[in-house]
Amino acid sequence: MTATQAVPAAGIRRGGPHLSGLAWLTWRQHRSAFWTGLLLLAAFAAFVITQRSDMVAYIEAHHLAGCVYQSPESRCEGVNAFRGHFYNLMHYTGLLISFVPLVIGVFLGGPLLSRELENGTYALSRSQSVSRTRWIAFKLGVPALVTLIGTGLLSALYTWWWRPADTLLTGMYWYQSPPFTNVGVVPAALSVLALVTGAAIGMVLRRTVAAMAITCTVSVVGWVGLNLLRPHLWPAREATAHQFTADFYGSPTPLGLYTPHAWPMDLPNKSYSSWNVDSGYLTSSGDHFTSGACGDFTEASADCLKAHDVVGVWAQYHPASHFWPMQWATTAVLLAATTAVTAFSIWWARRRA
Amino acid sequence: MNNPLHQGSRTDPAPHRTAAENEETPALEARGLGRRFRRNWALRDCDFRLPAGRICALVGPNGAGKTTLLSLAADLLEPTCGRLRVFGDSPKTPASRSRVAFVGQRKPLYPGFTVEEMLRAGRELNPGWDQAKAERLVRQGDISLHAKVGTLSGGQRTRVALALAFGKRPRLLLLDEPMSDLDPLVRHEITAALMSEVAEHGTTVLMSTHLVSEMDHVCDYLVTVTGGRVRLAGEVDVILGAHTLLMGRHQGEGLPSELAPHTVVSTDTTGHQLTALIRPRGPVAGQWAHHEPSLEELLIAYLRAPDIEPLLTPSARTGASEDAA
Repeated sequence: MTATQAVPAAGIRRGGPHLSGLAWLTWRQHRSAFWTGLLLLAAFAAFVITQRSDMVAYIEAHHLAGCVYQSPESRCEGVNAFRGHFYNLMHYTGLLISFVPLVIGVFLGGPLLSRELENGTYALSRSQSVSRTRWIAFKLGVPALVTLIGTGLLSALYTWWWRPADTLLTGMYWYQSPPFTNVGVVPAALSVLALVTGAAIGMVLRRTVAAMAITCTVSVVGWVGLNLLRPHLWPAREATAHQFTADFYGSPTPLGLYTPHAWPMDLPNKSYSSWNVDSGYLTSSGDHFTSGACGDFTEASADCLKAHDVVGVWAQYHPASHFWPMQWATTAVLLAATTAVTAFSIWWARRRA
Repeated sequence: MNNPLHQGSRTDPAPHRTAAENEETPALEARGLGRRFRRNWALRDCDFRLPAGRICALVGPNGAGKTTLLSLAADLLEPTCGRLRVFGDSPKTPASRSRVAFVGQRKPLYPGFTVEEMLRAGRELNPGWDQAKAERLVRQGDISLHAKVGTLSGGQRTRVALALAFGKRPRLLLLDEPMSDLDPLVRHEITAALMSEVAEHGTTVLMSTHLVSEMDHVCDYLVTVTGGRVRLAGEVDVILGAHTLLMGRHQGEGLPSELAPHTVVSTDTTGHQLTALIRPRGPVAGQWAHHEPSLEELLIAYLRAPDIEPLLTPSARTGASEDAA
C-alpha cells in the first residue's frame, strides 16, 4: 500500500522557496500563477536582451546617440529610418505591458479571497490557530510581494530597453503612454493596487466571476482616471511669448506656426521632449484668452484676435526633467490608494467576513 | 423499549466525566446569544451550557439555526447580541482558536492540494499539531497521502477533514452535518474513527445532525433548536427520563382532564386510542400505559410543538436560567 510507506510529510520538497506557516500556504495556493508569471518574465527578459543589443548596435553604427527627432544636425538624418526599424515592436510591447496590472488584478486579485469565500475554504483557514489579521496580512502580502518583485523586474527591463532611444522615437516620448506607465516605478505600484483592489472586491462580493468582472471594470476606469489626472500631479511650467506684431497680423498666413497647439515646439532646450499640457493666446494685459472665441485660424480670425488685444501665446508644459518627479507623484497617489484599500480589507476581514 | 446500545455506550463513559463536570468550565456557554441576518433572527435568546467531555447532538429542522450556532462557536460569525464562551473565553481569543476545531458541512479542502499538503497546511497553521494522529486517520481510510484532494470521494474528504480537525488536538470539536452525504458503511466507519479519537482524549463534541437514529448510541448529550431557540438541552438519559409516553383509551373532545397538571408536548389520537408525550409533574392519574419514549419519538414530538416550554437539565442551565427556574 503506497499510503503506509509514505515519506514523512516534511521529506518531500518540490521546487520553490523554503517557506513555512501562512507564507507557505499562500505560496502553495497560488504557485501556478506565480510560476506562470515568473516564466513569462524570464522569456520577456531574453526577448529584451536580444532586442536591445540590436538597437544599441544600430544607434552606434549610425551615430544617432544624443540625436533628437527633427534635429538640424546632419548625422541625425537617420532618426526616421531608426524609428521605422524599432518603433512598432517597442510600442506594441509597451501596450501589451500596460495590460499587466489589469491581468494581475483580474486573474490573481479577483479570485484571491472570493474563491475561498465561495467554496468554503475560508472557513477551513479560519478554523486554524491563526488570527484573522495574520491571515489577511499573508493572504494579501505574499501575492503583493511576488507582484512587486515581478512587475518591478518587468518595468526595469522595459526601461532599460527604451532608455537609449528615448529621444529618437516620436510617439514614445517620456510623457506618452507607453512608455510613462511602463517604465520606472509606476508599473509595480499600479499592479499592486490592481491586486489589492481585486482582492477587496472579491472579499465583499464573495463570488469569483463577479469579482473578476467588477475588478476589470474598476481597473479600466481607474486607468482612464489616472491618465486624466497625470498632467496635474506635478506643477506645470508656463511659458509666454509676445510675438504678434502689427506686421504679423498683416501677413498672408497670419498665424503660421504660432497656433497654440504647435507651441512650444520651438522652446529652447530640448523642446521636442516637452509635454504641452495646455496653451492659448495671451492679451497685452497678460491674461489668457480663450482661443476658440475667434474660430478657425484664418485671416478673419486674425482680425478677431487683434480686436481682442491678443499679443502672443502662452503654454503650460512639463519639461523632460519632470519625468522622475511625475513618476514618484503618480506612485504616491497609487500607494495612497493601495494603503486605503488594504486598510479596508483588513477592517473587513476582522469585522465582517 | 430501551436500545441496549444506549445503555452500553452512554453510561460507560459517564462516571469519570460526571465527577469532574461541576468543577470544570463548560465547553460552551451561551447567554442571551442571538444572531440576526438582515431582518431575520437565525438564533435568538440562547441560554445553555455544554459541559466538557460530552458528545452532544445538535438537532433541529433545516434553517433552525444549527449552523449559525456552530459558526458562532467557531468564530466564523459574530453574535448580534449576547455572548458565547468556549471554555470560559470568547471564541475570538487565540486560546479559543487553538482549542476549537470546526468541520463545515461541505468539508472544504483545497482541491489542488495533495492529502499530504493538506496535512502540512494543518501543521503549518497549528502550533500543537499531531502529525502522527492525522496521518493515522488518513491511512485507516486507505487514502494515499499523494492523492489530490480533488479526486477523493465524499467519505475520503470527510476523513481528511476530520484528520485536519483531530491533528489540531482540539478540546472542542464542532461538526456540521458530518455524515449527511455518506453511505451507511462509510458513516459507520467514520463514526467509529471519531469515537475512538474522542474516547482517547475526552474531546467535547458538538455535532449537528439529522440522523437521530444513528447518533442515538453515540451522543450522551442533546441540544435541540427550532426557530432559532433552544428547546431541549441536557443529558439524553435525563431528558428521556423526564418524559413519559402515555397510551390509553379516551373519548370526547380535547385533552383528558387527568393530563391538565402536566406539560403535554404532543398528543395523537387514533380512534379512541390516545398517545400523549408528557413531562409529568408528579404522579399521573387515570388508566394509562407508561413508556419511556425513544429519542426519535421525543425529538419528533418537540419538532412538532415549537411553542412548548423549553426543558434544560441542571447541567445545561446557565446562571441566568438557574435564577429564573
